Amino acid sequence: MISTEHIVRRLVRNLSIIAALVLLGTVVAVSFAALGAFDREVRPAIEREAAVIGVVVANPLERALGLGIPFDELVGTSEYLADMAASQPAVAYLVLTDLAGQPRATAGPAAASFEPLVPPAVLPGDGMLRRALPGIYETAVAVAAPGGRPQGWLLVGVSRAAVDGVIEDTSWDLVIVLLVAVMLAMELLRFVIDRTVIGPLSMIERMARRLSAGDCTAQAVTGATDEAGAVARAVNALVRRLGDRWAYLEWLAAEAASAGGRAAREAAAVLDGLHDRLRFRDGGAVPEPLAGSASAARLPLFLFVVAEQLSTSFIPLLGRDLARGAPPFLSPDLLAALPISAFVAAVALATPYGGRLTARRGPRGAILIGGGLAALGYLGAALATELLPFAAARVLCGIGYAVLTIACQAQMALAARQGRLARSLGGFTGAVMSGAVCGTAIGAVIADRLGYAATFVASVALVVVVMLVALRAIPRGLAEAGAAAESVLAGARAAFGNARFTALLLLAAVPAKVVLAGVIFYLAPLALRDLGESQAAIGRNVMLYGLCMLPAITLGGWLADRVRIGGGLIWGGALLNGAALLMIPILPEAVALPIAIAVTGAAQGLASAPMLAAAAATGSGSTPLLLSFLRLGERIGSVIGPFAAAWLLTRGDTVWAMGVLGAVTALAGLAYAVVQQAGRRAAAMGSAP
Amino acid sequence: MTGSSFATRIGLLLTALTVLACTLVTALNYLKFERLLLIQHQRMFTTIGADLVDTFERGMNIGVRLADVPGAQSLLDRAFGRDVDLQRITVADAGGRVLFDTERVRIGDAAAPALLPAGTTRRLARFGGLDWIGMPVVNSFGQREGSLLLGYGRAGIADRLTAVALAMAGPGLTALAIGLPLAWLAIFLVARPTRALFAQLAGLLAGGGAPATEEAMLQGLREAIHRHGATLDDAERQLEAIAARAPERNA
Repeated sequence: MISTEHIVRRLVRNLSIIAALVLLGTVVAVSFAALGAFDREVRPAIEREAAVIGVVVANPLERALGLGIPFDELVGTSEYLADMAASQPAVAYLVLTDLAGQPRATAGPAAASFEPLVPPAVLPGDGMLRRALPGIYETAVAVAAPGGRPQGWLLVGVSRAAVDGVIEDTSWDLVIVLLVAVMLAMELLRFVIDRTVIGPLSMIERMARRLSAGDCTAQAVTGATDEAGAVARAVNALVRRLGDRWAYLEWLAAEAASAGGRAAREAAAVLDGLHDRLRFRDGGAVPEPLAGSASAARLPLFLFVVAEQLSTSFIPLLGRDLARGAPPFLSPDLLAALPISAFVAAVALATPYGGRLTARRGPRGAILIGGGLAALGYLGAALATELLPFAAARVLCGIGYAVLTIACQAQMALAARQGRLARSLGGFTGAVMSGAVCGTAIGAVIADRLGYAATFVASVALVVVVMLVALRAIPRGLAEAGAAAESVLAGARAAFGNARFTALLLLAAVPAKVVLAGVIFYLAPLALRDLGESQAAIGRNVMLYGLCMLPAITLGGWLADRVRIGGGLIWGGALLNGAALLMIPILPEAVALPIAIAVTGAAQGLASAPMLAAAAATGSGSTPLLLSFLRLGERIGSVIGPFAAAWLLTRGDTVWAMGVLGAVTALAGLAYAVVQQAGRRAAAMGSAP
Repeated sequence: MTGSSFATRIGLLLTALTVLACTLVTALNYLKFERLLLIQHQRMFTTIGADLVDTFERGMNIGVRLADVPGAQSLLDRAFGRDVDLQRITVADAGGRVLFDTERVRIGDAAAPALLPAGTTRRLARFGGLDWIGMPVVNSFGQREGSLLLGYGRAGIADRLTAVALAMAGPGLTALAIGLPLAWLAIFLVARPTRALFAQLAGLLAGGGAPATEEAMLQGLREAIHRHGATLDDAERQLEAIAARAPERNA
């Protein structure tokens, strides 16, 4: 039996491969062409610089020759060349040779790599010789008294280091652009396939189920001009045909009933028999209401996180620049933290209100409001010339971030199909992480080339796209019944009055974020630095967290939905995480640290989707509010983490501190397992007859 | 199947993304190379300027003021030929009045204040379509006697940048010209089973025959359509039979 799911899965997989291959092929082709062109075009420019340096350096030597000093008796040339080489950062070496190419004086950082020159019999038109040596472009200038014959050569070697640096930079840019393009392609593909294939097929499946049950009261939503639209129109034509036949039978029954009482009774019985098998709506079938899908929220979320993360790499630098105008008793370094703290505080404080707004206005309304606020914030940040307006703009960005992310999360929870809640909500963390990777990487490149203001303007443009996507893809409404009356305080009372939710928050969500911020972002980099690792190596090690987390999120969501072990994944993840951190004091640090970081990523990834699903399923209050309280708790954990780690560092070394945090995490996981087991027992006793 | 296919949308999306990625890479590389050349260009003219300043300072060391350095104007005229991009060299006194200039008509004018170095620090500026380096000329007592302003163009850089842009555009366009049609072909090939499913659904719903595949939804739908058709046929037959009977006599 071939299933639609199988066909769709194969389609998604194959399209992803095609997208990755096409992007890889074309971008690599352009980049290789660029590298070749750099190499080709930069050589004449470097040789031109070498010629200018040669003429300038040779000038005093030529004046000396002009005064009648023989070439062999020139004194102090080594010192002179050394001074000149030191004043020219691009110079690799300066070598003065006689006409036969024998060195008389050498200077410069790469003087040892000089290779003797064999002058050709015939000189080029400009009297200069040029050759390419490994890592160096060399130009030889003839040294002669004014109007006289050449008596020697001044060889100027200019280093290719700057060009090689650019080529290396270009290779990294290539990796970044490829990474961003492939991730963006995957997100957009997911969105388009959902709207053009998965969504319509699921709608057709729903219509087929209705028709099988004899329900002819609903129509498919048409509008698409592709295959799905044609099928939807065919479905509606079928419903209409059935409806027309029903109308005809009603008319026929009325005609038959006019024959007499018995005929009327028999005709009514026939119609009643039909009523049992087929249901029609008076006035014709109406379109089935749109529910929206999880993917409809995933793309806006991904794009929004990209927009936010574009500025991550330079916000502290910009903050410090803007803080320079502050009174002298305030340190710019201290003030630079103000925009960051303002943003984080705004996100934390606005998250519950974002949840309430989503519950009242529906995800679409909340996304539009959050997007509008964030766009204003980015615009303000682009225009800000002082620290306080910049911090105020970041507050707006933070409020927008809180509202929009919680709205997308709520949409994912609302749109999750039966038995797919964890997988659907796992998409939230996946989209946030992919967006963060893409945004940070491409933002740094844009800021470097176009400046800070242009990067904020790019964020505004992306947020406008987010709002347009939300307008088009997420149906209006879907506000929760009764949500309008529920205040944040009432929601908090309901949520925290629920032992399951409180246990989830305090024993799973908060400890996970304490470990993330305290160990991965604080202690691990310090420990790696103490081991003598370079900045790049530290970055690569920390990146292991994200790399292991992304696939684990998908696996965790799948296991939670399929095998129904969401609770086990939450406490099991905490135990695994704790064990990995406890391993650090036991194993050699250089081995244990990368393993612990990777296992932490995998363990937290496994627990991430089940945790969101468990919060949404506690049923004590509206879903958006519950999710917002969970996010608030996570943010508090992120704030506590570095402080807790720093406090532990005052009492021991990094290894000890990580071990302690690991033990706390494992204990919290065990406590959560106990609470969950007790809850299950209580539920079993409650349901017992 | 009328109208565009979902595969067309996916093809368009992939085309747009690929073109965007290629444009981004090209633009980033171009900007990077431009910066590299501008820095190198600036370094080269700084070398020329520093040599001239050094000559002027040595000239003043014999005890003359900047305006009286012997052979100053011919020194500027000779240096002017060192590079084709060199457009103008000016020497101004501490008050900013032009003392020597490769454009002799400017001698005696006031130099643009935006170009004059601040104290003993060099100034870099873009002014009047030229890049400028303003260098202080300092006497043996460490006092600023005046400034040397060196203006240069970007013609040499522009040629190289054009060459790099063309070198990237050629292979880029070729890669797109080969890659995109192949991608479209592959997209339509992989979309074929899904399109066939849609086509079978449309055919079935329009009253066509049995679906070619054993897909569960198609079979269920087919069965439902037949069942409902038969139910309605049966009801219609019964009602027609009732209607065809002679009217009942009133009791």
